[in-house]
Amino acid sequence: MRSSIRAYGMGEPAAPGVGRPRTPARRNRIGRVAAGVLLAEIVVALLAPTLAPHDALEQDTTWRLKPPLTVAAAGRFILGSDQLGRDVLSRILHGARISLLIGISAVAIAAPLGVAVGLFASYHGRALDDVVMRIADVQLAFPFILLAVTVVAVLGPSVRNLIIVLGIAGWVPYARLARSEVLTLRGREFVEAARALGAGDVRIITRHILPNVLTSVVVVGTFALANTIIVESSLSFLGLGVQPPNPTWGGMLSDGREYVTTAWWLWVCPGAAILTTVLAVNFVGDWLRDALDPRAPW
Amino acid sequence: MVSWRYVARRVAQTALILVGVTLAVFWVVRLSGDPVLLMLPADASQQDIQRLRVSLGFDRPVHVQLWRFMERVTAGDFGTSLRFQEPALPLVLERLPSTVLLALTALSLSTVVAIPLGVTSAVRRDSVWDRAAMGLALLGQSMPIFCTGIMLITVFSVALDLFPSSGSGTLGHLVLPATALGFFSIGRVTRLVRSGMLEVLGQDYVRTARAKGLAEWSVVYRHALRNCLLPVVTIVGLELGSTLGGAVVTEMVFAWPGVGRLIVSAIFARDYPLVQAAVFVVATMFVLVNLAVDLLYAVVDPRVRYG
Repeated sequence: MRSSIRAYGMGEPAAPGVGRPRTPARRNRIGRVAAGVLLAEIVVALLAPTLAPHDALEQDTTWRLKPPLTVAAAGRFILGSDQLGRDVLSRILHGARISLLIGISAVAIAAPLGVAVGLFASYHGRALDDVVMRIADVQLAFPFILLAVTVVAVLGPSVRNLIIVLGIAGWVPYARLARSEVLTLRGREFVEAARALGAGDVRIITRHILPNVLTSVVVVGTFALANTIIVESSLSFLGLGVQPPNPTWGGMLSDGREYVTTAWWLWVCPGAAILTTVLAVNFVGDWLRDALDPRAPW
Repeated sequence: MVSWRYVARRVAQTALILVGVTLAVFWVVRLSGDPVLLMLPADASQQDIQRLRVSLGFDRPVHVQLWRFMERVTAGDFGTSLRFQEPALPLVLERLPSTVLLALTALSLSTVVAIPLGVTSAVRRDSVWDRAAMGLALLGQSMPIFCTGIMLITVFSVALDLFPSSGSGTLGHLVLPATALGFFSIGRVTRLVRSGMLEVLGQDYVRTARAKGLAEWSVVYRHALRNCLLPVVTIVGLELGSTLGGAVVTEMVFAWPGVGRLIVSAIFARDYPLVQAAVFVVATMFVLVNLAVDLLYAVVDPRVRYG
């Protein structure tokens, strides 16, 4: 398992007998805080239509580019308003919906897909395994953002297409993970024992090997979620993600670029939203790695 | 001693991957069903559609199209860019040096920062330095390139007026894009150096070096670091993939005239022959660099024996 995570630069090899064991208390604390932040964000995203003080799409050119805390006739612009007089806070809240929806759905497609492909391909002998791994090699030849940009451009940018593309394109790490686990576990006694007792392939894979893969999948999936959110916001930034007028963090930043000097809140707010979210997910990932995989002492 | 069997196998594997890359590039414009509709504006007339279909050969059966495509690609012909009315491949190759310059500068920058950072946090494990370095690493990984880019522009070109915010030509133009792009991979390289060092520092020869009474810096930099640099080189090679991807975004933020910007503008112009050529070139470059890194690795580290 370790080697496959390492291949993605996400993890590190064990350091046999080096240093003192890490006290996980501090990490636990940060991890808990990050998990709390993330949960709060999910709740806020779900409740965005209720929580948002304004309509995220409603334009009012008399209130263009107002700085945070401006009081308007319609109420207060807590985080200011944008070049079309839309409320930045409301757009951030709605943007959270899109980012988290796409990120979580894409991972929810990629993880089971990758694990299933990895488990079955490697369990059923060299030929199928070779084919699957070569397909993975070909896919990895394309930088992820480039792949997403191209395919989304061809299929057309919609929330559904983004989820499908990011979901399907993300299968490789999970497949490699599952594969390496099968290769190490296949010859182990408990698998042999199960086989001797008459268990079939499907039962061995699902009941005896899959549980061993799951914890690592959760860790890899968490880091993949962070990455997916970055890719989604990058696509929106390039204008190839979810299309305007829908509020996306990447799109807001892209608009705000033209007002770098005059209206800092237009890029600082969505930037902070992306950074907070991705940082929280990454911290949770670190925390889960410590908690779920104590063999890896990094 | 290099195992020639290994070299041959690795080269054959790469050739196979390149065939796969070509197939994928062929297939991607057909994903939407009709590639001709993709390449024309929505209000194109039936005649225009038919004309383009015939001129690009999309009226033939798919296997004929594929065969023609493979034939042309082997000859370096990706067709004519619809926007520039010029052969697509030279247009891409023209901009390739800019992107390579940007990516290599970014990678060198992040390696130069990541190695001392990783070494320090491994040597002073669990210290304030370690936490700061790991924090910085995580920050780098969590910040999208366009965020870093806009921040750099705000601080260093708008406020301080030190570097130009866009364009290319001088060394000054390279600083901000390369920093933005490099910052993203600092995190991963730092973590790798750190863990490699932790592993190596526990080895017997490090203890021997210490027992001989060598200065600590000599133990760390001459004995330990050297031995963990090889995997770092491999990962830096792999980082090139995400760096090339990141270059797409970086080039858009800083108006850097490279392949990434060409791809995005080609997508907006529905210039798919150009998109195909550019995507093919980037993927091919990445695959070939990885081959080179693997082969170098086998030459440099004689312990490496591949099955």
